[in-house]
Amino acid sequence: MPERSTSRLVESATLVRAADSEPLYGESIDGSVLANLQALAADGAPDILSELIELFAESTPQLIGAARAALHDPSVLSSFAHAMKGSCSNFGARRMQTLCGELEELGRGGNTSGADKLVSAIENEYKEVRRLLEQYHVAA
Amino acid sequence: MSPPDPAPDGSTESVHDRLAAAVVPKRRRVLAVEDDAVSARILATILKQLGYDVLTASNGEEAWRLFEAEPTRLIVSDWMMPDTDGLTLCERVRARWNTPYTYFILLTANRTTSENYTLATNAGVDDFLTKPIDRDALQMRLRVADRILKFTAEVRKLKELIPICVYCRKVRDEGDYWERVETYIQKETGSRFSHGACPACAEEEIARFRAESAGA
Repeated sequence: MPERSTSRLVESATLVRAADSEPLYGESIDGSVLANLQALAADGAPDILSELIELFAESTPQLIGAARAALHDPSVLSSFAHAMKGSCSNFGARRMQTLCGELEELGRGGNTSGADKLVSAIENEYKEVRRLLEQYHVAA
Repeated sequence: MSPPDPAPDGSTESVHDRLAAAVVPKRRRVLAVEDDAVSARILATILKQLGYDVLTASNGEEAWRLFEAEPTRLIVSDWMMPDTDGLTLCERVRARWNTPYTYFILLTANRTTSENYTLATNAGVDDFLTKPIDRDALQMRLRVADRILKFTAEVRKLKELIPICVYCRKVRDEGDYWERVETYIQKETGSRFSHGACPACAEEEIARFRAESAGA
C-alpha cells in the first residue's frame, strides 16, 4: 500500500471503507471491490484504475443508448442490461448492478413494461457511480 | 523411495518430469475472451500479472478464428456474449479434430442456475469463475489448469512410446525409424543417460565372464 499524507488518508477513509466492506453512499459502491482494483495497480499496472474508468465512461453511455433503442425488444434489451451489469460489477457498483439485473430479468421474461423507467434509473445511477469513481481515483 | 541420483548436468528431475516438461511449453499462453471492455482489461491484466502470454478476443467468433490459427492449451471465456457465446466456443474447441487438450474456464454471473452449470459441463467446460473476477480465485483455478494440462501432456507423450520392440527394446519414432530407447528419449526430452547395469544383468554378465574365463 503506497504511503499517503494524513489528510489524503482521512479523505480516502471516508470514501473507501475497504476493511469492513461497507458500501459507500448507500448501495452505490462496494469499497472492497475498488480495493481489489487498487491491488492490480500496485502489481505493475499503475494506471489501471484510470484506464478502467475511461473504458467504463466510453462503453456505458453507448449501452444505455442501445438499451433505450431496444425498449420494444425484450431479448435485445436483456442482453444490453446483462452487459451493463457485468461492466459495473467490476467497480462494485451494487445499486447499478441491481438495476441492470432487474432490467435483464424483465427482458428475459419477455416484458418491457416499465423498462423505460429502469433505463432512466440506470442512467442516473451510472452518473453517480462515475462521479464517485473519479473522486476515488483522485483521492487514491 | 529415495530421490533420484543427480543427472550428469546436476539436475535431479526424473525422466518422467522432464518428459512432461518437454511437451508443456514453459511460457504459458492463454486465450482470454470477453466482450465487455472493462472486464476484458481486468482479465488481461490479471493474467499477465500471473505470468501468462495473453491473446485477447472480444467475441466468440474472433476467439474461434484465433484458436483455429494456433490452438492454445488454456481458454478463459465469458459465457454470455452476442452471436457466438462461451458455451458454443467450448463445444467447437472440444469438437476440433486432433487438437491437444484445452482447459476451458467459463466466466459466469453470480446467480447461475444448476441447470446452466450442467449445460456448461456437458459442453466440455472444465471450471467456472464468477464475475467480477477475483485475482486469487483465478490464480487457484489456473494452478489446477496447469496441473491438468501437465497430466494430459504426459498421457499424450506416453501414447507415443507404445511402438517398442519386445526383443531389443528399440522404439519406433514418428518417422518410422527404429532406434534405441535412450536415443529416442534424449531426442524428445534432452535427457542424457548414465549407463550402468541393473543387479540382474550384472549378475548374468559376471556369470558369463566367469564361464568364458573358465573355458579359456
